[in-house]
Amino acid sequence: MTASPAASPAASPAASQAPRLAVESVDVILGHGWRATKILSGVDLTVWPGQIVGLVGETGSGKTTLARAIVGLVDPARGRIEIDGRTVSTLRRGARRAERRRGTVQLIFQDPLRSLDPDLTVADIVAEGLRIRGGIDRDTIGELVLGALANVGLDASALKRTPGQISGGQRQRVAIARALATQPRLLICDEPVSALDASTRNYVLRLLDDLRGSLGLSIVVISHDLSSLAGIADRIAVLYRGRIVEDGPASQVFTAPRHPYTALLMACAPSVRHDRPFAPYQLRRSGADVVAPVAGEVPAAGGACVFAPRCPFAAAACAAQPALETAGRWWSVACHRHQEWPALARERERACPSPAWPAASAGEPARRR
Amino acid sequence: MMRRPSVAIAIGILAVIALLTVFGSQLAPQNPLTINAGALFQGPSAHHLLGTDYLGRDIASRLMAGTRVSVLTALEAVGIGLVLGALPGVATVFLGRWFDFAVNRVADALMTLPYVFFAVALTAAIGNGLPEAMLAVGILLAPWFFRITRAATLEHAKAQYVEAAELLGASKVHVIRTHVLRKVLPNIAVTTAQLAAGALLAVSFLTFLGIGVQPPAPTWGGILSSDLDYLSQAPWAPLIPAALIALTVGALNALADAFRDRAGAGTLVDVAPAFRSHPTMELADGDRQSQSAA
Amino acid sequence: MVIDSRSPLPDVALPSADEVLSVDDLHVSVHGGAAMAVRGVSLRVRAGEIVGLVGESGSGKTLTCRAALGVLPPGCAVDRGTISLAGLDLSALSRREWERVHGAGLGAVFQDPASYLNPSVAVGSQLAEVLRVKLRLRPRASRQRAVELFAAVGLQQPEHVFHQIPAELSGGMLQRVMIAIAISCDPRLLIADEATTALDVTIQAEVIDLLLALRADRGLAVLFVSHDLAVVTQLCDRVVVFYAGEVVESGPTNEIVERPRHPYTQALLRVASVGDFSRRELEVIPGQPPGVGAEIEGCRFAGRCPAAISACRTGVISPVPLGQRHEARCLRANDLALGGLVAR
Repeated sequence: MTASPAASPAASPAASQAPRLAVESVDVILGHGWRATKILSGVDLTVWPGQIVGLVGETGSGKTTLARAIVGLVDPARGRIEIDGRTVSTLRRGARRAERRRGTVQLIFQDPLRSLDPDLTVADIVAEGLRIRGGIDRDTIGELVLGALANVGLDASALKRTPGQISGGQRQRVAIARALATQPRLLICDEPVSALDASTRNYVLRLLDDLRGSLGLSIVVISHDLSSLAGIADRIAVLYRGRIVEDGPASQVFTAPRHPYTALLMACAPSVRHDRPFAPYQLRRSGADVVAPVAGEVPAAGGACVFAPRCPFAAAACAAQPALETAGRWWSVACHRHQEWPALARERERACPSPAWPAASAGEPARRR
Repeated sequence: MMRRPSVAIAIGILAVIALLTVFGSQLAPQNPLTINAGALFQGPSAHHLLGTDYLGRDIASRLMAGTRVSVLTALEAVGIGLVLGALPGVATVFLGRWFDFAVNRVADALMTLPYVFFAVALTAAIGNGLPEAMLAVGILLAPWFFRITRAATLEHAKAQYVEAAELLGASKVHVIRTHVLRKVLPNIAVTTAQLAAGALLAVSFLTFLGIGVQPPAPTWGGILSSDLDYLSQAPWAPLIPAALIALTVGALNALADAFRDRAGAGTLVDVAPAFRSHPTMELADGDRQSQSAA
Repeated sequence: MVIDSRSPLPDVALPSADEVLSVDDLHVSVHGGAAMAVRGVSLRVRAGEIVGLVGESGSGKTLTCRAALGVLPPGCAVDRGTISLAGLDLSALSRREWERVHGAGLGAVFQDPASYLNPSVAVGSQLAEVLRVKLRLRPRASRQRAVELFAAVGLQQPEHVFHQIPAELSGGMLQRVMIAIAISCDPRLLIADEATTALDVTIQAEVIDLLLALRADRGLAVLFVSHDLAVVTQLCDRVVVFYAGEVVESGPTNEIVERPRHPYTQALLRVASVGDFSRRELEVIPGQPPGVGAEIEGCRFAGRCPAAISACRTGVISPVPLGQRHEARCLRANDLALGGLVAR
């Protein structure tokens, strides 16, 4: 069921294929006047047919805004978004609605309790896109609905139920079925499994992976949980405060991340294994967490690297925002010092920090076990 | 809904009123218009269940016959208010900011008008009849329907499943029809019951003042008014029509409360951030509700 | 042990210095007694120990915590069993006595810190208020102590943070504020119910470090509840695994992780995203857990257990002792050689 990444064609697509999704230099600004904040800056993202891209970001990274921009719920202030070669970011109302009726792109929301109408039956929910499209007779709609439900592992017994009568995992599957009914080519999933428990989470992720194979879908999975992405993503793109800081093949990004923030995410992910290349203290500035502005705000350090305030390796060069540069095959990273910092990190010892912390690392779990 | 005794009583009262509205004239034991000079101000008896008034007419029959006029015109007012108010209330959420602004200002203006004077003015303009007077009341009830329906619609229009429908290419009409309408109906029902009570009071007041009334046709307010003229001779007399009005209005309000309670149980619960959950005990499989009880 | 009502609030006379929390055979019913959501749960927390409670939603871990805090939701009640805080029996306390225990004996932090703070009052003032009420400090002293506590929980520029309202602080900082409030009266035990669930992973790592530091500095014992097995194994000395209202296994973390003795624990280890970044098969546990309060004969996991035998479905399954403070509620605990995760 899971092909090894090297063999998967999706990880390194043929040059002749056109990308399924092309996000080019997109800026998104939310709010008006003096409250306007730039949520996304110069975001580039390409998704090829049959590929699963994991988009990783924490609070304030702009990942949900990016998802909404791709499906047209917010308009980019700059840049372009193309799907299958068609520019969708500049469509006006009527054309946008027509494009949506085509059903090429679908969005899976995080919480199915909110994204499904509690008064409608599963049959009505899944059929909605088809009904809106119009021109399909009832029997065909029925067949397509059953087909979509079968794709997510639900059968006809679910048809007459309402969202309140089924479990959380089943609800999310209904949401996926609704998206599949219009035969999309691109699925954007915004934290599709965060509200589910571990076992159901894996089930739904496996389901997405299978759908990619059986239906030829491209999928963007947005998540804050790196290790669940490790199970299905071909590529990982890391978003930090509105900028892509690293974008590369999943297996390689996980083994040897090129950006210190990616490495920090991996070092902080709770684990029982102790085979991480770095420990969190090697990748953090000493002291407790930065007096971080509230999520969504971009620090006013005009023009500097977005990660510089938190980066222990920031140098004079980091006063200028680094561009995404190629660091390997299909791999780009936005860091001036991406070749030097690993050596510096290895040398960092646990310095004696602010009085808040004990000098002895009595609580260090990795060492004790 | 039927479980509470107050609601059952309210429905019972309203059923009787409805019966009287339709069949009041036929059910009346006496002819409400027959004047009997020899039997003025009599108390309750076998012949006259509630006694007679200042012209010897049977009070019970007059009240029963008067039910139709009072109730029907109150319903007329509510109906006009509903159509003029609720439809724009739903539509305005989807029709853009300028339309919303304009209609809101019209509603504000209408809400400032006192209905009695407006009714007098309208009847003066288009003719003195109770239907015309209640048209005025209906117009003035519309802003209330508008406000409440608009608020409810706004609430439901923010829902994520509405956004999901828009992503499927839904038109505004589709969204209203499929997702919003059935959810604001409970609010409309509550408002209708409440404003029907208000409209009934308005009818009673207008007929009390003699607006739109063609004597000797009986109306509840008219009976109350003439009873007050003869208070010294029959001090208990005004209590009867007053009690009838109060009972009906009370029943309508109880019904409105029952609608509201029932609707409240099934309305949208805003589950805002992803990890917050309902304080429910029953957890379905595969759910992770971190703030759950178990 | 009786709480002396004449003594000032912070002094809760707690007899035992060694065992901070003992729960024995706890049974909690929900829905007004209609269903038993917690069945025969026993656990111990020693001074300075960090114990993790892990399990799915509906497994009973949160109800157990709430029973220990005396804040069961309406309709829930403790049917049987005892809970003692360092020897003090918590089941028969009056409201006044609970007020003394909260803060000085027990502290608690929950999942969404913003909802536990007044959104229009500066966070420092809210902490100072707690200090004034509970410790009877003077206003100036309480403000100073609040700033000290903010520094102790790792907030940078504590004097600046003192004056900020919750909306101006990030989730991680708010959770630190909540921890400061919870430890302000120097309790013996801190109960953290999904305290890091809603935090970013980088901030979660810092809060975990903070809890470890507090244990090292103050000997604070922590009861850490989470559905996330990885965090629990990272932070806790001992793990207590809940399933369908029961404790199915409890023991030292490294033993549980390397050699689980209950099939459910092994299943949890397999499905949990324990920081494994290699491309792997995502595992699922087939079937569904029983409904809350379901009455089942025999082992409650038998329906989904790959190793179940006929004896598993009859009678009452008692915990099997397995060595140093390790036990598992499985008939085959000593027979099965369940593989765990390789920790090193």
